[in-house]
Amino acid sequence: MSSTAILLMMFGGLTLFMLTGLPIAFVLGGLSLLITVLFWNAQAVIILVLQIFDTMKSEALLAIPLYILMAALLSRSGVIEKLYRAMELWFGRVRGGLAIGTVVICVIMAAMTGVVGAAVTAMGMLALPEMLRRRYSPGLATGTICAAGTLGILIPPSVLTIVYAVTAQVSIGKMLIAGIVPGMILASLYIGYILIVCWLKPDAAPLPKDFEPAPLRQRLAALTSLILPGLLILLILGSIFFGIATPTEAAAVGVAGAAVAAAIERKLTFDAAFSAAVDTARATAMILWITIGAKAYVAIFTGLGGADSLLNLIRSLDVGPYVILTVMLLILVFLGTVLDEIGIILLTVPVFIPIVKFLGFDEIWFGVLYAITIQMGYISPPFGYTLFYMKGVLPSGLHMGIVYRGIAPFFLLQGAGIIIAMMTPGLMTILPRLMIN
Amino acid sequence: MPRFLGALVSAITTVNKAAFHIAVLLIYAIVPVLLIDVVMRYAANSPTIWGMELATLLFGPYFLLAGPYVMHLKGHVAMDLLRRKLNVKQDRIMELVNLPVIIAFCGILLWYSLPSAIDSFNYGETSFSAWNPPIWWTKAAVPLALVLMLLQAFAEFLRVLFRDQGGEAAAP
Repeated sequence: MSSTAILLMMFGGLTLFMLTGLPIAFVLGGLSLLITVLFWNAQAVIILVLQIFDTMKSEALLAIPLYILMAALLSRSGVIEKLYRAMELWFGRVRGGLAIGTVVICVIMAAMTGVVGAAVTAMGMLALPEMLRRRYSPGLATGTICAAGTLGILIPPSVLTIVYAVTAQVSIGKMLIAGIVPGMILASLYIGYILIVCWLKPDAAPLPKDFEPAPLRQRLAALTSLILPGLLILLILGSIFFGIATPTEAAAVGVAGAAVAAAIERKLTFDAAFSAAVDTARATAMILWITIGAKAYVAIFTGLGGADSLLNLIRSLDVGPYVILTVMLLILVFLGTVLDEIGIILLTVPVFIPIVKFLGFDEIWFGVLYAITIQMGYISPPFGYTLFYMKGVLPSGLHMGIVYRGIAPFFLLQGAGIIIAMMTPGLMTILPRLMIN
Repeated sequence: MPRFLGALVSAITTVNKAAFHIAVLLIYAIVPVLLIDVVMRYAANSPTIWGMELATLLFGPYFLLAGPYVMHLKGHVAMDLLRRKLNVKQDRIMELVNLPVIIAFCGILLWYSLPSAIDSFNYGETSFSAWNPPIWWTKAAVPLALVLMLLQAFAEFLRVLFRDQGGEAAAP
């Protein structure tokens, strides 16, 4: 059987199995087993077993449950509520201030935690009712929360970035730090957009008529809520940037910091600690079982010569590198609308990275582009995770159609973000290049 | 469903719930181990030889043993674009086809992973690091998790077959 035929079978089988609604972990694992037994030899199944052992002892992947646990503890600690109150006091008197403040808080939360759900749920519960009470346009309010919530994918620490770095075999620390600049650019794009909307359509984010700014003393007092998050961010990002600790060690310290934050707020109960750990185990088991399946799938794909024939195909195409890059990114954006993002990374990175190397592009820079396409996947229907979180907190008067329309401009802004990142590879990788070792 | 099968299904689910809870608590063993290592390394300047290694050895059993019960909670993501368009009857048929696929996957992988776990135990395999702990127990988590996943898939299959959605053990 020719390698092209095997290639077609692997992609075709994947699509077919996926459509049955079988969990992705078993789609990948099952298909790998099937192909191994049918087209290779049965003894090669041992490769899959070795892949499992290999995944189990990965120090880098161990960071995933730690960052998830940290987020789970923080979202139960009351720290985020305090941050939100402070933001309301400071931004409440600006037109569109609550939306801008939501972006700012999402950036802070993104720098504290590595997951997207925590920010979207928290802002959906805190900022959304207040924005709607002030008669903000529901589309602007929900779109802002969904889009800003996904900043956690770029801004370190980030679970998805770790998965990318492990799969692409680049430095996890460098990849994490590389997310800062594009994350800030995207956040600025969102804030700029909100300001323009408020200027063009004052009705989209009206100021309350009875608004009285809080006294300065109260506003300054509210800033104390920034101390703990600030320390946590400094601790984690600082230790990664200066190479003091590995991302996994930094994550363990982050968990301790989150526990301390919860304890200070007197929210560190046995129930909170247990339910945080339950959430963590659920999310981690889901991610790591997919990882096992995907590793097996990719091992078979490479072993049967799929990667080589794909490279040969691209060599024979004879088109410019940026055309190929754009096609790869379009594939990612498309996959993001129909497939789970962890699965996308694990499946496509091993296929794309050899192409990226062949074209002479920087893998860290490509990782940044990846992360932005994943953000697009996170807010686009029908499979965008933020939409599910948003659905959970949406008031009864609103329906998902408003949310879908609300995210559209932010989806375009993320597209603009990709174009900016594509045009400025030097800027995107400036921080990782400044890092020690 | 016949009573003995019902008892079997809830027994399997109970065992997997227990395994899940052990995994849940394991994270609170992993974190302190790492913290001790970090403190010793950066504060006392004498890193432990066992800290990071012990944490990574616990990591495998942690996510593997949590997996089967997460399937019961429907926590393993799937692409449900097509499935959401099906009616109840068609959806049930898909489920009756899918669950045996999981059973077969676990069975085949079990067939190949069990010998290497048994070998590891018989030879008293160690990690050959500076600390050099025995590692058969972490390898044994693979066949164990596969058995548990196989049983849970079988239990879910029986539930769908007899139209018993049995929510008694659904809450984590």
